[in-house]
Amino acid sequence: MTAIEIRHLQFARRRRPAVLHDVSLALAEGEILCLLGANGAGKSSLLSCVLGIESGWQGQVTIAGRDARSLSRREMARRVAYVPQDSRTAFSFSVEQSVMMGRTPHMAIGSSPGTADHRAVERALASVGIEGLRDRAFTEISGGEQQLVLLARALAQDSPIILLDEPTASLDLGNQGRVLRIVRNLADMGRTVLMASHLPEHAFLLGGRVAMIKAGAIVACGEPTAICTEALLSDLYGAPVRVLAGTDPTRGPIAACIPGI
Amino acid sequence: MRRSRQGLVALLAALVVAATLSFTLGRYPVTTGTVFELLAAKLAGADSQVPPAAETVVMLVRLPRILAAMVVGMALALGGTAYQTIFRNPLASPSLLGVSAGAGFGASLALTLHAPSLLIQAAAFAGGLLAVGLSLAFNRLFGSRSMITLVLCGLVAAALFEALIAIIKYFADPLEVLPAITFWLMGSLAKVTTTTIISAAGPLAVCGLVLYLLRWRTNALALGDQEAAALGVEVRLTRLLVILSATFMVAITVSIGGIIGWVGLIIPHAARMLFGLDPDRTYPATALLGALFLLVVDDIARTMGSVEMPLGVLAAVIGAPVFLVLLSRTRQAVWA
Repeated sequence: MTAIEIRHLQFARRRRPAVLHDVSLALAEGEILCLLGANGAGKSSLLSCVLGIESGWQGQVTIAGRDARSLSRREMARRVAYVPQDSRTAFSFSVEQSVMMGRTPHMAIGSSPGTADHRAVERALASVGIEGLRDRAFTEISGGEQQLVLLARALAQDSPIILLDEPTASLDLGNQGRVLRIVRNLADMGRTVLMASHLPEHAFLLGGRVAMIKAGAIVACGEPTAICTEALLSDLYGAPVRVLAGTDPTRGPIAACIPGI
Repeated sequence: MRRSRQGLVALLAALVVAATLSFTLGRYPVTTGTVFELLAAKLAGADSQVPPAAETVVMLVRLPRILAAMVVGMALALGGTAYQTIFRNPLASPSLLGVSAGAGFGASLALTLHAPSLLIQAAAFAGGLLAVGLSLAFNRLFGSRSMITLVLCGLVAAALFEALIAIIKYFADPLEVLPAITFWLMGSLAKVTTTTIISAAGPLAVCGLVLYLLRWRTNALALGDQEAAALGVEVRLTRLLVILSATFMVAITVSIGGIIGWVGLIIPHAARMLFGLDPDRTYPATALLGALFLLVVDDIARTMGSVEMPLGVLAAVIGAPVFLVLLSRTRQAVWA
């Protein structure tokens, strides 16, 4: 079944030039799609439109068979979780409290977190491997740890679809690998993942498909081995890009992409 | 978790004790025994053996005042918590969108016109709502979705009404009206009656309940609009409900006791420092602390000297050192 279907999505903020021109994409259940594009190409806007955080877009977005416009915020949050690039909270919530925020769409108005909510938080902390950070303040842990907390929050949300906005930006190589492995596991467990990324090599590691977005339009879509070529990537980023292909003994084809200068 | 629950129980016990002792404070001597006897008799609907003078003092003078201090303290503190959370700003107080300035203007105007006290209360209430309404309307006019714009609109509305108050004071009769306005603007619960409390209790309870029911969603708003929306919060609706409830509460308290600053700014901070950020703890703690604080301050205001001290001023004088001590003892930061 199709988890996300985007048809002819157009979006412009008020009195601004269009950010997205006629974007169409479809993700099957359990699929990983990596969204590649230059800064400002419209990756984040696309995610925001799908989530319904941005309104005023035209076209059609279908989430697991339901028209996205017909979903309330809460219904949407139960189907789709979102991992932002970073989080600027006003309070220094503890890690546990931050992850508990992910349970918001499951809590009735006025009620407090119940056993199911606490259990979901525990599971999320464990699957990301940050049980030890539980009582630390979100604002006092490192950027990489914060990213893991945001990922755990999305897991606690227990939604079949997860959108990630450059979750590995500002992470070191070790943390990048950790995040990517969790994302892969999510897909293995049947969740659908749409991830904006600025690193083409992540698409190889995740083993899903790639969609390239340039100036608000999808310019290519397919297997990373097929479309992450030097020609297409150079065109995508408007600058020469070298692709060094290799093979991972277990994962198969991988690649490193480096900017030409 | 368990410790903070015990803390809440201790706070509640302290409030009950303070309220009981408050009945015995004042020029006319009343013992706690008399107070219990009277209240028990009233609750049972029976006649008591207490002298009529004592009954008058307890039932008509001290009871409304004690209730008023607790209710107003609770409302101001809860309003402050809600405002600070949704505006993501530690400096936010319930008067951020101009409710106090507007209420002050309404009351000053009514005082100038020698209106009866009920009308003064109504004018204060209306003025407070008018100011906040203006802030929201300005913000809407700009079509802005940024909270900064809303705060600036609130600043403009507050400045406007402060200026209007100044004009009224400038032209007010310096012998009669000016002192009344000045006194009113500094806050006092001296003239509170049981009727006022009873008529205010219902709306205050409803607004307080709305804030309490929305506590987890309000908390998510502290992450910012986009993240809160992605977590399933109806951002604009929730924020509007919270602003309206908090504003209503504060407008009601201002119409009861004049402008009492500081409580709505400082008590929420104190509650978070002592009880943390879990809204299940923060909200009750804020309400109880607000009630306890204003009760004690009002007790001092009415018993310290031969002349009543203005409540709003005394709240700051007593609250400042208490808050500093708290600040120096708190190890974990609450704000990001």
